[in-house]
Parts: sequence; C-alpha cells; structure tokens
Amino acid sequence: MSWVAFGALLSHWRYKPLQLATLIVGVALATALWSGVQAINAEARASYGRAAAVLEQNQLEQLVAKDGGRISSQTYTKLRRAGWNVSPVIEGDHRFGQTRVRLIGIDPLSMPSEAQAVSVSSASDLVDFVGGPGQLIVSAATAARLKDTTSIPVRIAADLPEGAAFIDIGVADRLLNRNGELSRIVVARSQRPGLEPIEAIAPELALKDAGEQPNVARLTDSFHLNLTAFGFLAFVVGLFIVYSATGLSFEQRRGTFRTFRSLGVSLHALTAMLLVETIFFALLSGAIGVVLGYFVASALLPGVAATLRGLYGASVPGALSLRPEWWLAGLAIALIGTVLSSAQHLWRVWKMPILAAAQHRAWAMASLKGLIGQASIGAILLLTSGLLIVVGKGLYAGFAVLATLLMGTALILPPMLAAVMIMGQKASKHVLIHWFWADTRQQLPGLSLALMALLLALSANIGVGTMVSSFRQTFLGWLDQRLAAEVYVTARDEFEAGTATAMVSGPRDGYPADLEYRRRGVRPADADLWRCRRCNLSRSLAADPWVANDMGCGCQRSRRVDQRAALAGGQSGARGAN
Amino acid sequence: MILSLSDIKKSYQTAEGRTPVLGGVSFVLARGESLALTGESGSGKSTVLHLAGGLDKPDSGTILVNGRDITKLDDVGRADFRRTDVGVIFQQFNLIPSLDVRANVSFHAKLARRFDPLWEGELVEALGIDQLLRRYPEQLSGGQQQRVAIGRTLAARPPLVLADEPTGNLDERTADTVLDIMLRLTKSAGIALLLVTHSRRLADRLDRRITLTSGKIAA
Repeated sequence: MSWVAFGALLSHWRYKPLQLATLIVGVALATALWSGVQAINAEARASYGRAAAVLEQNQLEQLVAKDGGRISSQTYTKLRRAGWNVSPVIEGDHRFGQTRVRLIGIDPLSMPSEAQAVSVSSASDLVDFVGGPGQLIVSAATAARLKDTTSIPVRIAADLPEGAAFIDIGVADRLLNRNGELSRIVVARSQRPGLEPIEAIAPELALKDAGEQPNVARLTDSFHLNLTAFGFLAFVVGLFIVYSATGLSFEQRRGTFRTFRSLGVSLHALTAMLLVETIFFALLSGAIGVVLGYFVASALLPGVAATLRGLYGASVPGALSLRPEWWLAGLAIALIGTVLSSAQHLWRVWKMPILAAAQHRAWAMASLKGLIGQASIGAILLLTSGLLIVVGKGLYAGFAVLATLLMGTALILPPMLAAVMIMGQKASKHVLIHWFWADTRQQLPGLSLALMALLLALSANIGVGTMVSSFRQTFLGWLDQRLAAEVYVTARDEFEAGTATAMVSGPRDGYPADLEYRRRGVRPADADLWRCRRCNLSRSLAADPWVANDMGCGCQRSRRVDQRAALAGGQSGARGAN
Repeated sequence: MILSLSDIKKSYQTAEGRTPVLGGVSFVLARGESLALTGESGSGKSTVLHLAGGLDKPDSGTILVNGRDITKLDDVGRADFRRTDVGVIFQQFNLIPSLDVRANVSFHAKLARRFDPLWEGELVEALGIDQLLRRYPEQLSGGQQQRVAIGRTLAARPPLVLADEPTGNLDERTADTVLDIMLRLTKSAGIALLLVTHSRRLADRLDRRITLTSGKIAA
C-alpha cells in the first residue's frame, strides 16, 4: 500500500467534509441506537442475574413446593434429621411505612457458604444479625429509603440489589406472619453419601436445578427481544445512510480510482486502501456511536426500568454501568455494518475494468448483473419466508418471517422495476418516451437503495401502526371484559384505598357496609355518583354515600354490589356508575 | 528501443459478437523519439495507446517496453510497469480533484519514488502553472488542467510518455503552446513520446507519423 496514494484517497474527505460528516453521523447514529439498546438489555439481564445470584442463591439447587405454595417447617426438620445439609429461606414483601422491601429471611448458621450473599461470619455480626430485634442488611439506596421507617437496625452491604433486605429467618417469619412456613430450601453442594432420597422424605417438594435462568429473565425475554428488534431496525436504517454516503463517495471517486490505476496503483492495493479507509471510518464512527449510545441508554434506562418494574416486577437499577463487552460489541457491529454496506461498492471497484471505470454505461451494465443476483437473493428470501410461515413456530420464527419477507421484497423491488423499464423502453415508439425509459433505467442503480429504504420504512410504519392499533384494541377489549365493574372508586391516597378495599370486602364485624365505612370516618371520592337503575337518578355520594339504600324507589340492587358489600340480596338499592 | 509492438491483434466483445479493432499492428519507437499516431475515429489509435501503456491486454502479439514484455505481466506487474516505465496523458486530464495543483503534479513522481523538487520546479515554471499551485483542478481552465496533467506525467520522468489527444479539448493556439512545451520537455529529458491525434498539423510537428486505418498501419 502506497502512503502517497492513501493520502490522496483520504484527501477526498477533506475536500468533501459534508460527505464525511454524513458517513460518520450515519455509522455513529446506527451504532448509538443499537449499542444503546444493547446496553439497556445487558444492564437489565446483568441485574436479573445478579439479583438471582444474590437473592435466590440460584447457584445452588433448591427445593420448592410442587404446588407453588409454602413448605412446612416439619418438612425441613425431616430433611435435616435425615442428614441433608439444607438451609431454610422465608421471603416476601413487607412494608416499612411507605417503603416496600423484599425480605429474604435466612438462617446464617445453616446457609452454605457459597450462597452467603451477605457476610455474617464474625461473632459480632452474627449476634447483631440474629439477636434482639434482628438486623436488616440492605444496599445503600435501600437504607436511605428505610431511614426513620423501622426500629430494626440497618446495615449496608455492597452488591445487594435495591429494594431487598436480608434478615434473620426468625424476624422474617414474624414480620411476614408465616408461622414457620418456608418459601424454599437451599441444598448445599456437599452432602453426606448414602442419604435417603429427598423424594422419599418430602415427596411434595421439587428440586430446582442450580443456575436456572431467573423467572424474571424468562418473563422479560420477549420485551428485550422487541427492544433488540427495534434497535436493529434503527441500525439498518442507519446503514442505509452509510450505504448512500459510501456509494456517493465511490461514485465521485471513480475518476480518481481510474487515475490511480493508470498511474500504477494495482487493483489489490486500491482495494486494500479502500478497505482500510472503510475500517478506519467504521471504528472512528463506531467509537463516537458507542459514546452516544451510552448517553442514549442512560437517558432511556430509567423509563425502561420503570416499564420492567411495572410490567414484570423486575428490579433494574436506573443507572448504567460501563461494560467492556458492549463497547466491543458496539465497535464490532459498526465495523460489520460499515463493511457490509460498503461491500457492494468495493466489489464493483474490484470487478470494474480499468478503462471502463469512468463510463456510465459500464456501471449500468455492471449493475445489471448485480440486479440479477439481487433478484435471486430476494426470491430465496421470499421462499424462506414462505417456508418459515409453514414450519416455523414461536416468536423468533415470527421475527425471521418478517425479516426475510421484508428484505426479500426490498431486494426484489429494483429488479422488478428494471424489468418494467426494459419492457417500457422496448414498447415505446416516440423518441422522447424511449429516452425517458432509457434514462430512468440508467438512474435505477443509484435510486434502488432509496426505493428499498422507502419500501422498508413504509412496511415498518404500516406494520408497527397496525400492531400498536390492534394491541390497543385488544387491550381495551380485554379491559372492558375484565374490568366492567358497577362501581369504580378512585382512591386519593393509601389510607383511602385501604378503606375502600375494606368496604368492598364486606363488614367483618357484622356492621352494615355503610356503618363500617362511617366507623372508619371516611367517605368515597366526592366526585363519585350513584345512578339508580330504575329511576335513573344520579346522586352524589358526597352528601351521604349510603342514602341510595333508603331511596325507596323499589329498584333492584346489583348482585355484584350485594356480594361485595355482603348485604342481603333482594333489597332495594342502587347501581353505581361514574 | 523503448517501445516495440509486434503483430498486435485486439478485438472487443459487443452485443453483435467479437469486433476486431487491431489486426496486426507493428512498430517501434526509439528513446527520445516522438511519434504521432493518426487515423480516423474507430481506427484503433486509443487501443494501441492503452495496450502500450499496459492498461489493456492484446489478444495476441508482443509489446516490449524497455526490453520487458508487458503482455506477460499480471495485474500487479502491469501496475508496477505503469508506475515506473510509462506516463499516460489523457484527453480528459484525469487530475485528482481533491488534490491541489502542486500535489497533483508531484503525485506520480512520488508514487514512482522519483520525486525531484528541482525538476518539478523547472516543469511548473516551463508549463506556466507556477502561479496555480494552490488551486484545485475545478478552479482551472481546460488548458491549465492539461498543463497540470502534462506536468504530472513529466515530473515522474518515465522513459515513455503516451498522450491520448492531449490537445483535443483545447483551442488551436493553446494546443500549439501545450505541444511546444511537451516536445521541448520530452526532448530535454530524453523521453520518448507516442501521441495520438486527429490533427495532421500537430502530427507534422513530431519526428514521425503512423496512420491507422481499420486497425492496420496504412503507411
């Protein structure tokens, strides 16, 4: 490779800075969106893994109830007496004031050392942990949230997920009202030989293998796959920009390539220089893209974490950590994407005869061969799509069908247009119309990518629009079916919510519902209205929520309200609506 | 002898089949000699130039440049040959648009590792482009661009210069000036010149002239 020639090749970018900016921005944006999404996914998955390792001790085998319920302490005792080295765990959610915390009650004496997420090994630690009121071991963030909400001493430990607390199993049992029932039993790796099988001792228990993917990871798989798919779509769109920018730069430098070769730069050297140039820009833009991706991911992560928490109850920290694997993955995807989007141009330079390089017609002829190849690939992709529709199953097969269908259609579009233009050219009699077809056909190689991108963008737009719309309709239909209650009560705070819940679950002490409600000294939301089904009169509950019972208009009470209020059926009443 | 073509035949594949372009062309060119290649359009003049410059390969025949048979060279060998043994001046100038005049002039010489700033200085002065060194090709007229192209070729001091209608885009007066410069500089440097031209007037100013008719030497 000649440095003189390489310098001259690179001088194009100094001469056309806007083109350079387009290329770098294209690769950087494509990489940013892709690596940003990957960073979020990696962070979430790492968080699940960390949580599973720390909170569920999933590096060890565990015993859980086959029916998904709790395990009696007698079963645990039987296992211990049979010689099994096992340790009990009680876990559940508990509120300290307004702060909800997942309590993991462990027995530090029997818990295998490899599953000890927190250190209570020293004597003083152990005494603090199991003695007196016990001790909550939490992350710094959780400790801050628990401040002034509990009398139990709090100790901060590193590497603990947010919203979780380790506590002595006895304290956990008391706080969670479990009466000795266990959530699961951790089985140590080392066991004495010749023990009676667990199935014989506790047939109601099932053995959960070590290292199993945490439930939340399985639950959120499709969510992350969707994120990946959208990230990839954004990446592909970015690559179209890159393809256009590199295509334009190659097109503008055809004359320069010809000059290089006529002045003694071999085809190998020229191709190598173009490849080095492509790799250089890919890495430079990829690095910028990964940095941008970090900021994109940082901005999006709190929202994604909130969505994951809301939908799946998965705890993902709102802050992003720098992971070398996605830095490298980001650079790799930038490199692969740029090389792929430049491959066709490089190939055309490689195949173009030295003397034909600057001739427009020659490029058009070279493009014709390319179109045939493109049509073949498109047809194969469409066939694959059809095959997958018949034999494929599951979400991945669905994505594969969409990908092959979209890419196949996009690839086959330019050859189809070329065929139409050839037919139009042959059929045209008038010289101007003949020129029109011929000239349009000559423009096709340059326009085909834009047409393909337009087709993909339109398809994606229609597809996503239809998907979102049908999802919304289905969801609303589901809500209508499942949540068609007679009364909707809006609670303004937790106390009001608790009171309303107490009301609809019925009086416990034999009070009529209204008296129970009045006893607690609250009324439903002022804006709520009750409508009598028979006389169709609306009454505000603000004045007296239970006056509807005494209206005496003789209309039927709603059975559901009757059931919920635990009042006798058949009495006159009202049907509420808001 | 710097260039020797022996019984060169060449044909091209077209939609109608193979079309013969050269039907056995033979001639020689001595060191420092200038030779005009004339003929009608389609007679094969440019094809001869491309073959002699190692830009294309003949179907048959031998082309010796500086004693080396360039028809037997592979792509890398031909590229090496073009870099060191020959300079080609195109009708369309083929300057590198992203390099200024100075960089364009020195480009081939630097590629061939024969860059000599003194010789380059003499050239740009003789060609009258010493005031244009910071300009880019698009800022130059056709005549100025052609002089830059000539400067680029001569700066590399190849033993053989091939010029494909170098004055085809220039008016008569500028064409005369450019040819004067070319002839003076090639003579002074001992460079052989094979020049393709339509112009009998320009051809007469060179040492010798060959006319091609339908792919064969007419006289």
